[in-house]
Amino acid sequence: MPIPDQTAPAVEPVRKSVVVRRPQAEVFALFTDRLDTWWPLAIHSIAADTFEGRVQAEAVIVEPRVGGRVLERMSDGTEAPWGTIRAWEPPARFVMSWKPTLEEGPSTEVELRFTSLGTDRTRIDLEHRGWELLAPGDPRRDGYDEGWGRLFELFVSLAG
Amino acid sequence: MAYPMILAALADPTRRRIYETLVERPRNVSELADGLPVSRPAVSQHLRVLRDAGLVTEHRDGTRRIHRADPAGLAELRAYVERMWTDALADFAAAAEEAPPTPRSTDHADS
Repeated sequence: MPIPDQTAPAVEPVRKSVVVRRPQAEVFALFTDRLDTWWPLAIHSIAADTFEGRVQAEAVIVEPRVGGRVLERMSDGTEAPWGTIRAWEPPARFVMSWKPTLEEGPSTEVELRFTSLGTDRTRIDLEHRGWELLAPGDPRRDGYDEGWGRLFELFVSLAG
Repeated sequence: MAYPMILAALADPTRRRIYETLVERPRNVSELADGLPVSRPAVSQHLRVLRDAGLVTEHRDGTRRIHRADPAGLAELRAYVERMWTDALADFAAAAEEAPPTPRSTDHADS
C-alpha cells in the first residue's frame, strides 16, 4: 500500500441524469418540498437501514434554506438528519451534504441541477461527490484517528 | 444494506486498522492482535463485523483461520451509491409525471 498523499486526487463523482416532462419550477418544488412522496424510503432510509422494519421512515423534511437540514422523521418520532443544505437556488440548483446514517463518519456532497428544456421539460443532473473528504488532511475529520486515508486510496482505485 | 453496513463497519478506528492491515496481506487473529492494543477476543469481534459487511473473508489453513480483505466489499460501496441514485431518479421522474399539474402552490392544493 502506498502512503496516501495529503493532497488526495479527486475521485470521479457519481453522476446521473434524467429528463422529466414537467416545467422546471414544478420539478424543483416536487423534488424538494415533497421529497418523501417519491423517495424510495422503504429501501433507502435510515429507518430501513438501521431498524429493519421495527421503525419506518414517515417523512423527509427539506428545510428550504442554506444551513437547513434534510431530516428523516421515523414512526417512533425519532428525527435523524441526512445532511445540511449548502446551496439553495430554486428552481435551478441545490447542494446538500450527505451522510444518511446514524454512524459517525464523514459526509459526502450531493448537487442537483435543474435545467429547463422548454416550457414543459426539465433535465435533472445529479452529482454525488466529495469522496476525497474521506481522505486525510480534511479538517472536518478532526479527531478521527488515522482517518480513512488508505481506505480512500482503495476506493479511488476501485471506483475506476 | 451494504452501504450502511460498510460505513458502520469502517466507522470504528480499530476495525479500519484491522481492515487496512489485512489489505497488506492476510493474517490470523494472533498476528492481528500482536499489532494492535486490543485483545484477541476483541479482534475476533471486530472481524465478525467486517465479515458481515462483506469486507473480510475467512479461510482455513490447517488448524489456522486466515482472514483476508475482500476488495469487492469496498467496491460495493460505490455500486450501492450508483444504484441508489438510479432508483431514486427513476422513482422521481415517474412520480413527477403523474403528479397533478400544479404541485403544492398552497398546502391544501394537493390533498
